Parts: sequence; structure tokens; C-alpha cells
Amino acid sequence: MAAVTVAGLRKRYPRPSAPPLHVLDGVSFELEPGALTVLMGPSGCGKTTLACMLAGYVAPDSGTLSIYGRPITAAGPDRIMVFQETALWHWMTVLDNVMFGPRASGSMTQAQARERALGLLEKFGLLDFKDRYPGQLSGGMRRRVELAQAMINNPELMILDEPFRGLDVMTRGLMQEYYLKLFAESRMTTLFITSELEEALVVGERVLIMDGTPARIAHSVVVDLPYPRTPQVLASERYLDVKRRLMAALYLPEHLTGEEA
Amino acid sequence: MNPGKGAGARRLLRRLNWRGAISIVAFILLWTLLARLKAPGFAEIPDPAEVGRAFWSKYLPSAAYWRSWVVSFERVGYGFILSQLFGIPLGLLLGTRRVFHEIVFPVVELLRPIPPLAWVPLSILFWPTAELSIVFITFIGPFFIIVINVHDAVHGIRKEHLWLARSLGASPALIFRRVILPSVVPAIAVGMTLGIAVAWNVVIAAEMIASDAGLGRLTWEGYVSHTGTTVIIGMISIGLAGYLSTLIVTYAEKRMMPWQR
Repeated sequence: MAAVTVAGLRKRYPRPSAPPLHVLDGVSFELEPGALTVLMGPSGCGKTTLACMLAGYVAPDSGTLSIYGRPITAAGPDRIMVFQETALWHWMTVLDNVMFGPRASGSMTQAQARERALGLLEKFGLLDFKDRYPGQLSGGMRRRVELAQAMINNPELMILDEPFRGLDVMTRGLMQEYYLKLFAESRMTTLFITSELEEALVVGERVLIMDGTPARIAHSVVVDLPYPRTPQVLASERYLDVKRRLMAALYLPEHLTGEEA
Repeated sequence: MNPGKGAGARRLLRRLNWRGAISIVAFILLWTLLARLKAPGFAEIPDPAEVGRAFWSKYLPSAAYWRSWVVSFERVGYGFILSQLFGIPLGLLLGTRRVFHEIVFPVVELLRPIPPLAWVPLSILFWPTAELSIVFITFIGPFFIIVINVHDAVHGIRKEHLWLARSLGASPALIFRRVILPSVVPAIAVGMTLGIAVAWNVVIAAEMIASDAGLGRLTWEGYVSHTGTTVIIGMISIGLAGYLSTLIVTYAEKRMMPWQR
């Protein structure tokens, strides 16, 4: 059974004094349990709208979404989304941010939540910063807090909406490596949204490509590269072959050479 | 020469803001010069030394003078605190309850542009005592400021902050307490800063019109009796009282927002 099933999603946004903006039309795909799937597509094509639908924040005009067969109709603790811009509550300390989930859902006592949060912060290298406020942390540290906040609830689906956007190249590389280690431990079903081709190839097992106006899932490319994606793997012929296939799927055939097309 | 002592003196000088001190001294010298030379408009204006002597001999030992301080502070205190007690919940209700907003907001928008002093005649007619009417006018000044500030702040809450709380399983009551309320604290702080200044503006004018006590009344009596020293002592006292109130409000704001320290 698929972890997530999306079938025939359509979404239009009404606009004042203009025809409605038709964002999604007939979006369908499945996410396998424990898979790390990347979603790519041109800027503004509706990736975040799709992520918000999976999280239960935005309702589709038509079509269905389900997680392990249960229809998705509202936000719930079985799914968590890490947003493009940090959504940590800047008035809470790092520890309070991480402990919020289990306390809010009532799944743990105060002591249990604290112990689990401290354990996660230690694992994320943030134990010394537990009493700091998010505004006192670097961008990379804030991202790690958000991952801890997301993972403490053990969600069935993790949605990462361009989580490392805005980080410098070095921090971004470290965060990708860091995230992949966490993923390998948890094998939490993940939809990872990015607009960076290199990032998709570094993290993903499969890449879904959205295209068109309104958008739909136009291609699915399997990234059959071994983990860890070391510099050797990322310089291999196999990598270049996957990259070529991904580029061919991403860009219109007229942009490719005759052989690739 | 002791270098440590020199460094200490330099630090002290920096902390004292010597440029500001020089400008105050220059202002007093200019005032003295203009008053002594009886420059146009300064014929009845006493010089700073004269004001200082009058303050020392007549006002400093006077219980009536200090009573004026207490009376004005009480009026500002009551008006300001009541404006926050009623204004913050009203702003929150307007921001979070759509039907309540549709019913009440037009009335707020109708009353808001009326300057607080325009309420004086109605207030005197409505309230049984002059004291109550002054407190009411001092209440009206900051009231609409805080209502609008909180209302706008609720509308400005990042949807990601609310979504995240929902995803983590928070109930509407918990979201209100842990997310909405702290989100509007900076707006409350701005409302307090603006509100205390308006409260002092209003109370002084109201005391001049409708009271027999307070710093406004003291200044007005100086004008009526052509006593320049009283007018200036009244004005300086009002300035100091306003400054002291701002210090108290700033201290409260810092306590309210520990994440901004």
C-alpha cells in the first residue's frame, strides 16, 4: 500500500477583476512508504500549493489525497511541513519550540516531552542552545531546530518545502548530508521540494517533475545512485547519466541536442 | 598617569553622551541670553536661573506641587491601564472573530478619527464628576491606538505560525494562547509607547479645560496669573513626567518580550 496517494487534484485561485488562476490540473502520484521523493518544477508552478494540500492547509477544488488510505481533509500530527521560510515561534526558546508538538497533542507528559526533546537536540548538536531564542541562531541551526520539531512527533509524512533555500553553499551541503543521515535512520516517508537540480540529485531516490500551466506531474525520474552520495558518486558516469535524464525531463525537448531529445 | 583611570573616564564620558549634554547647556545659555536681552517674544519669559530659584524656594517644598504630580500620574495611570485592559481584548476579538469584526469594526472606524479632546464636552455632560470625565478622556486617547494596533497585528500573523501549530496537534485555545497572543505582543508594545504619549497629551489639555488640580492645571494657572516661572516649571514637570512614564513603559515592554533582549 502506498503511503500517500494523490489523485486528480485541481486547484484554481480566484483573482479580483481577472479570470481565476488555474494552478493545478489532474495532479496524480503516489509516495511509497519510507521513500525520499523529490518534487521539482519551475518557480510558481504550484509546488507549495501541492505541499500545503498534503499538509491539509489548503483544500483542492477536486481530486483526493490520502495517507495510508485515510483521506487528508485537514492539518494533523501525522504530517508535518517544514516551510521555505523558518516558521519557528521566535518568542519560544529552542526547547519550547521542539517540545510544543507532543505537549500540544497530549502524546507525552511534560517530563517525557522534555527528555525526548533534549535527546533530539543533543543528536542535532543543539543541546547547548536549548535556552536560546530562534532569533539568536544561525540559519543552519534554525533549520536543524525545525527538523527536531518536526521529528519529535514521529509523523508518517515529512514535507520539506525548499528547506535549505537561502543557506550559503557550504551550510547547504552540510545540511543535505546531515538530513540524509537522519533520513537513513528514520526512513520517514518524505516529499522534498527543491528547485535546484543538484540538490535533487544529492538527496532524492526519485524525482517528480511538475510542468505546464496549470501544472501536473509531467515526469518521474528514478535516481538510481547509491547512498551516501559521496564526491566519487557525484562524479561518476552513472551520476552524469541520471543528470542527463533529469535535464531532459526538466527542459523542453527543443532545448536539448538531437541525441538527448 | 594611570591608564586604567583614563580609560574609565573615557567610558564614562561615552555613557554620558557628552554631545547631548553640550546641546542642553547650549540651549540653556541661549534661553538665558534671549531672556536677559528681552528679545522679541521673551519680554515675559523668565531666565533659567529665575526658574531654578522659584523651583527651589517655592515648588520643591510645596505639597500642592507634588500633589499635582500625583494627580496627573493617577489620571494617566487609570486612563492608560483601562485603555489597555479594554483595547487589547477588543483588538483580539476584532482580529479573530469575523462576524464580530463585521458588526463592531465600522463603529470603531467611525469613532476613531474623533480627536480625544473633542470628547471633553460630551464627557463632562455624561460623567457625574470632573475626575471621571478626565480619566475617560485619558482613556479614549490610547484606546483606539491599541485596538487598531492589536487588530492589525492579528491580521499580520504569519499563516505558517498558525499552520505549524495545527500540524503539531494544537487545539484552537492553545493556538490562541501560545501563538496568537505572543504574536501580537510587539504590537501591544508599540501601542503602549504611542498610547502613553497620547495619554499625557490628553490629560494635560483636559486638566487645563476641566480640572482644578494636576500639572496641566498648574501650568494653566501660571498663564492666567502671568507667572512665567510657574508656566515653565509646569512645562518642565510635564516633560519629566512623560519621560518617566516612557521609562516605565519601556521597562514593561522589555519584560514582555524577552526574546528581543
